[in-house]
Formats: sequence, structure tokens, C-alpha cells
Amino acid sequence: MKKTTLLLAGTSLALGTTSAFAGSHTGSITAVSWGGAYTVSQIEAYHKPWTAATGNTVVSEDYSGGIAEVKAQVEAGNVTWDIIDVEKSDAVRGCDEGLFMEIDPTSLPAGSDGTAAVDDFIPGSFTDCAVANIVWSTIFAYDSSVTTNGPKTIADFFNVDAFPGKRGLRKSPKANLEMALAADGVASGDIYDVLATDEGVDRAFAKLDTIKDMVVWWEAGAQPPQLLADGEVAMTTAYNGRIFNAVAGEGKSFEIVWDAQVLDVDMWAIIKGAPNAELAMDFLKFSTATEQLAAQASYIAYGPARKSSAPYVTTYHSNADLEMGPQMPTAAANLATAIPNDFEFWADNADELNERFNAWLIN
Amino acid sequence: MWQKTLKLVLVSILVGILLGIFGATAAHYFRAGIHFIEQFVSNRFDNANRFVLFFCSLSTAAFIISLIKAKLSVIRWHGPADTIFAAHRVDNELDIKSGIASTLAAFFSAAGGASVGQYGPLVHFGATLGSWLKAILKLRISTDIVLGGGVAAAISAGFSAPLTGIIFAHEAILRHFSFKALAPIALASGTAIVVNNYLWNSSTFIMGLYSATDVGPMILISIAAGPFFGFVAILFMFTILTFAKLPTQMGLNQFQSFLIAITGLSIIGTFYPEVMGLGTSAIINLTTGSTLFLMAVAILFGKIIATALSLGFGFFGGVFSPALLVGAAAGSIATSVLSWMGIQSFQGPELIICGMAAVAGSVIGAPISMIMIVLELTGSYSLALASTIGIVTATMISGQLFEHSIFDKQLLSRGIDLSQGRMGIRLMEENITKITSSKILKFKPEVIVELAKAKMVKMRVNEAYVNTHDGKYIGKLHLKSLIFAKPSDAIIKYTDTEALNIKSDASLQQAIEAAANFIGETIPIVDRKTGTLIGTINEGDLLKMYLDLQGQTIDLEKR
Repeated sequence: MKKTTLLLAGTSLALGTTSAFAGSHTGSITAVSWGGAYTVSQIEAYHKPWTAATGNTVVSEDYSGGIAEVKAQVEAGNVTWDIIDVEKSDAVRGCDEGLFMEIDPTSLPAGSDGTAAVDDFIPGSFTDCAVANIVWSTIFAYDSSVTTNGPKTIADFFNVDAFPGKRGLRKSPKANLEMALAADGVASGDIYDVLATDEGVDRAFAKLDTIKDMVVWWEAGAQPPQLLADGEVAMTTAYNGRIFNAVAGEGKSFEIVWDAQVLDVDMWAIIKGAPNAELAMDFLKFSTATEQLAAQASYIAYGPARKSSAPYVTTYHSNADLEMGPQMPTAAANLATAIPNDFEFWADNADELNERFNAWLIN
Repeated sequence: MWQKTLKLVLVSILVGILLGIFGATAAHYFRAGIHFIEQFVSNRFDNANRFVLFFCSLSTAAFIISLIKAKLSVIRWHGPADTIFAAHRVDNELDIKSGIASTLAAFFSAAGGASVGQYGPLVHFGATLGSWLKAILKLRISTDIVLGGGVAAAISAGFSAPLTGIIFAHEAILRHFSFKALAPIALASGTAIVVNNYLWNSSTFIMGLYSATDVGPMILISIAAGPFFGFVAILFMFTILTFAKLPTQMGLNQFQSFLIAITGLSIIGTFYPEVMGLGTSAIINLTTGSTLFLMAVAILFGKIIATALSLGFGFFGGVFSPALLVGAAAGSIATSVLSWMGIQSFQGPELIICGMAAVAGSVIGAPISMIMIVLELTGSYSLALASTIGIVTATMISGQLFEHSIFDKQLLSRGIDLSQGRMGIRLMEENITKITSSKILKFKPEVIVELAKAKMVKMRVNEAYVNTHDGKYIGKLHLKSLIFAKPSDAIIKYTDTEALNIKSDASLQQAIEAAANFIGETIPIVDRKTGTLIGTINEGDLLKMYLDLQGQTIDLEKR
């Protein structure tokens, strides 16, 4: 009798323990982003805390923007990515083409101050299929240890006589056309009105023509700081966070010129047919919370998309004397001639302008 | 540096001596004046009907008090509660006019026969004298010195108890030990007793030296009697505070209030004249004679009701003397109960003295002062020691079940919580408008995004405010919200109307509590009445103001 009782108790214990373990399974998602310092900031602010909180893991993959690879996966019915960090115009296009899942913004967590998510995110943070995480910008920069009395305006970037040397430009019409028009004298508020006309596009390409022979083209965000560090270019356009990290993290003497910076938002989108869509959604909600967005801003100079994150943005993670606020593209001091990206314009015209840009490159 | 220190020391000493002289003089003439009037009435109208006599004298007093109130434009009478409150502030001295008017009102109330005390008004008058000296001599000395010195002088001269004066000033009024003020306070107290004794040959009013008592049994009796004295003190305070609310609740005007008080007091005085006026002779009778149980009960309840009627319905004065008499009556009742139980060891004044000190100590929140007063007024160390148990037990009971003192309760009804300490009071007192910045960027709701953004960028601000055309606050505008906004949109579309705002009459405490959960750069301050935007504050300003107050409080209490 005693033995029977003991056996029954042992069986119950074993059953209970195995059931508990069986119930606490963990999973993994594949998050795709832009690599380099930017992905590092996401790993520190999003991936690691999410893993610590849920036990789920994140496999990180890099890409260079656009939706071509996503389209290939979806159309082939072989989706291996779960969640992707995209520019807003690509988020709109991807959604229109059925590549991304729809997301209800009201399902996102409220801000730390209790403000509902739809009110907490800055305007323009939501598309039907994506949620903004950061505000970043395309700026141009130079190495002040090489170029003394450096350029101050976007016009200087295009002035190879006064500021000789090669130029680095992203191999894409985005931001380049805007900056070209700004350098040609178009006010930042009028850029897209001009670019919406054939004459305006011609004018932008004409301006690019003036430096075409001097351009070194880059594709990945990690390249521009390297081009500057290697002395391959005198100045280059870049994502502002990459230059900041080269300065703050690697001690480079690069200077950012904020004139005509092109502001943009990056967004998380979940790919339709993603193998771990549910987990990816949980990751998306977690990583776009007030604290996570603010935490990311201590690793890279990109502004959080939530208003409630702003007060938590303090100093650089490895330098308590370096305030991150003034490094952000959204700091008032950096906004005077800023050009906010017109996402609708690019969603409507990206294909056409990409074609023309590629043709222009070949010719 | 040393000259400055020497000057400060000399000034403090001089102020202490001056307060001692003035305090003793005021106390003497206050009591002598009341005594003179009482004697005058008694001699002239010895055979008059007692009701008519009380009715006439109280009516005369009421008339004079009304006159004082009208002529000096006094809104309310000031007493020890105001002194305590003033001692908890750094930059708020006592109002001299109200202090003098209140002392006069107390004088005529007591002289007219109302059941009021003399020490409360004298304490406040002493403190007012200190404030007055500080003001006219433009002294840059601590509030502790001027208030504490005045209070100590009043108690020292009033009771002929200089040590009690020193302790009372610290315990009941300042509520902390003030090292820098100790010498001036002691000087004021010492000077007051010297002046009182040498000029007017005053001595202890209650009793002479008391012979030794059997400490052990007395301590046991004190333990048992202490809670009883505590409950009596609670009944006394509760009745006074309840009566004080009645005229307002009943919608009475000043004349109607006085009429009720005069009639009620005249009836009580007709049957129990012992409970009227300062009650000094009744205390002496209780401590020196053997009062019957029923008489003691009548005095206890009669004094409580008479005092509550007097203070609640228009007359003014202290509660210390009435509390002493109530305590003496309670002690007499306890003595009678002991006698019934067959305990005949304490049929002298021991329990009566203990009861006086315990009830008064509970009412004014000063148990140590009461222990000291027993010692000074009886000269008996053993009686003081034995009374200690009764006093502290009573104050513990009343403090736990009611309030630290009647003054604390009065202040609490005015929204001032002394239990929060100086810092807590200062935080509730300080208004935030003094740190409000009016340098803010404001827009009308129809301004377009492009213009607002350009202006904010030009002025390098991340936050601006949106007001209606008549200046009413609508909400906050974040620069970040405008970055990707349609340039031609009106900014009202992007205005955060739910942003935290604080009303202009908020205290620093309330502002800090609100800011604790605040996220952003600045908090708008909105006029409560008009709804207009007055300015903004930020967390840094709040912290700076808090630290300033903390520094001032430390300066007041420690240095």
C-alpha cells in the first residue's frame, strides 16, 4: 500500500513536470535589417531584451533595402524571413503588392505615460502593414581631419571646384534627387512639387551630372563611413546614425552637415506567409514600446518614433558625457532646411525613377 | 567674519533680553488687568443677580470685541496655532495687528467672564512681539529666536516657570531643538522670570512647594489614570472643535452667535461660577481642598461646555487654562474613585496635579513641558517623576486616537498638516507661479504646420503651445509631430490636447506629484479661473525650488 502511494506520487510528479516543460516551448524569428551599427543597436535594444523577456530568439540577417528579395520569397512561396525593417515608401509599396501582413495600430502597447499608441507615435508612423520605429535621415559628411574649413551647405557638396575630391552617393534615386534640387536652389518645402514635374526630374539629374564623374556609389549603410575613413571620398552622403557611430564609437573626426538632410522613417513589417508570423508580431509590439525605442537611441543617433520615448533619450551607451538629443536628426537645431521624405511621392514614382536612375548610371 | 558672528550673537542676546522684559510686562498687566476688572465687578455688584451680572459683563465684553474686530479689520483671531504655523515657515512672520487685536479680544473675553485661557493669547502675543522687534529693528536673525523667545518669556512669566518656558517654546511651538536659538530663548525666559519676580513679586500661582510622594505606587496609579486623562482631553478638544463649527453650520451671524454664547454662559455661570473666567481660583480650590465627586464631575463638564461655547460662539482666548481646570477636575474624580476602591494613599493633590498636567499636555501637545511644569510648580522631583507616566500615557492616547494637539487639529482644518514637518508644509505652501517661465512659443489653432515648424526650428524649441484667440489654453505642440505632417494642415490637428497641465494655484508638492509621471520638456501652467496659459515650468525648476526649500529648512532647523 505504501509502495503504491509512493509510486502514484512519483508518477504524478513526473507527469506534472513534463507537462509544465511541454507548455513552455520557445521559438525563433528571423529579423532582417540594414546591418552594421544599426543592426547592433537593434540587437541591444530589441533582440536581447525580447529574448530575456520571452525566451524566444532572433536570427539577424542583413539586406540593402528595397522589396525585391521579399517579393521573390513571397512569389516563390518560400518565405524564410519573418519581419523586416523597411523604408516607408517600400512599406507602402509592399503592402499594396500584398507582400506584408496588415497590422492594426490599436493593438500596439500604449506609451509609458498611458497615451494610446495611435496618439503616441508621431504622425505618419503607420501604414496599413507597417509600424515606424525610428526617424533617420540621409545627410552628407566629411572628414574634418582631412578637409579643413569644410563644406557647410548642400551646394558645397556639388561644388567640386571649391571642395575638390570624390563624392560618395547611395546607388538609388532616393535622397539624391532631393539633395540635387536643394543644391540647385530649390527651397526644402518645394522639393517634391518640383520633382513631381518632368522638368524638375530633369533638373535634378542635370545637377547630378555635374558630379557624376566624381561619384563613388555605395549600397550598404556601413560603406560611407568606410569610404571616408579610407580617404576614398572627400565627402559622402550617409545615414546620419552611421556617421555618428563612427565618431562616437570609433573616434573618427567626421563632421555631419545637416543642411538639406532628407528625413525618413524606418518601419517594421511582417512578411506575408512568414513561418513565425505570430512571434514576429509579438516582437514588433515589444520592440516598438516606449522603452525599447528610447534604448535604441542610446546606441545610434536615430530618433524614436514614439513621443513618449523622447524624455528617456539620454546619453550614448558608452559615454555618459555625450547627450544623444542634439545628435538626432529631429533636434530643432538640425531641422532648419530638412526635407521630410514624401512617402506617397516615392510610393507612386519609385519604379519609374529607379528605371531612369539606372539608365542614367549606365549612360 | 568673526565681527559678523559676534554681532549676531550680541543681537540675539539683546533680543532675548528685550523679549523677556516685554513678555513679562505683557503677562503681568494682562493678568493684573483681568484681576482688576474681576475685583471691580465683584465689589460693585456683589449682591446682584448672578445671571444678570454675567449677562451684562459678557455683553459688554462682546461689544468691545466686536468693536476691536471692526476697527482693526480682523478677519479671524490669531492664537498659538498661528504661532506654530509661523514657526514652520521661513519667510512668514506673524501679523502684528492681528496679534495685538487677538490679545485684546482674549483680555476682554476673560475679563468679561467667558471661559477662556490666558496663556494661548500670551504665547501668541509674545511671539508677535518677537516678530515686531525683528521687523522694526530690521534684524536678520532666525524666526526661531524671535518666536521662541517671545513664547518662552510669556510662559516663564505666566507660570513663574522659566525652564518650562524654554522647553515649551521648543516642544509645542518650534517643534524641533534649535541650537542657535537656545541661548536667546533661555535668556528671554530667564529675564521674564527675573522681571516678574522683582518688579511685581509674583510667585507660583497654583501651589507652593510640595512634599515628597511615594513614587512606586503613584507610578502604578498614573498608568491606570493616564488613559482616563487622555480620554478627557479628547472629549475637551472634540467639544471645542465641534462647537467652533456650529455657528457656520447654523448660519448664525456674529450677533446671534454672541447672544447664544452670552445666554448659555450666563446660565452655566449662575450655577457653576467656578468654571467661568480664567478659572484660577477653581484650580487652587481643587488642588488644596477636598472637592466632592459630583462637584468635580460638574466642573469637568461645565468647564468643557463653557469653554466650547465661549470659543465657538464669538469670544476668544486660550485653551491651556481651561484644560488645566478640566484636568484638575478629572484628577479629583480619579482621587474619589480610588477612595471608593479603598485606596487611601493618594488623597492629596498628587492625582489632581497629574491630571492637570496630563490633560493640558495632551491638549497643547507638550508632555515634556508639563512634566517640567509639575517639577517647577511643586518643587517635587518624585511627583514630577510619578506624573510623567500619567502625562505620557494620556498624550499617547489622545495623540493616537485624536491628534497631536488641538492646534494641530485647527491647522489641519485649514489644510495645514503639521505632521508633514516643515518641509511638507513648505511644499504645500509654495506656489509654483514664481518659477513659471513666460518665455513660451504660442500659436493660434489655425496656424499651418509649415509656419509653426519654421518658427519652432528658428527658436530651437521642441515644444510650443496652442491657445484660442482669447488666450485660453488648448494643448501642446511637439516639433516631432510636425516633421512629417502635411505643411498646409492647421496645427490644431497635431496638437496634444491631453498633455499634462497644472493649475496656477497648485503647490510645489502638487506640481512635483504631477511631474513625477510627466514625460516631456515643459509643463504648461493654466490659470484656474480664466483657463489662460500663464507659462511653463520644467522638472529642473521644480527640483531647484525643492532644493532651495530643503536648504532653507535645514538652515532653520540645524544651523
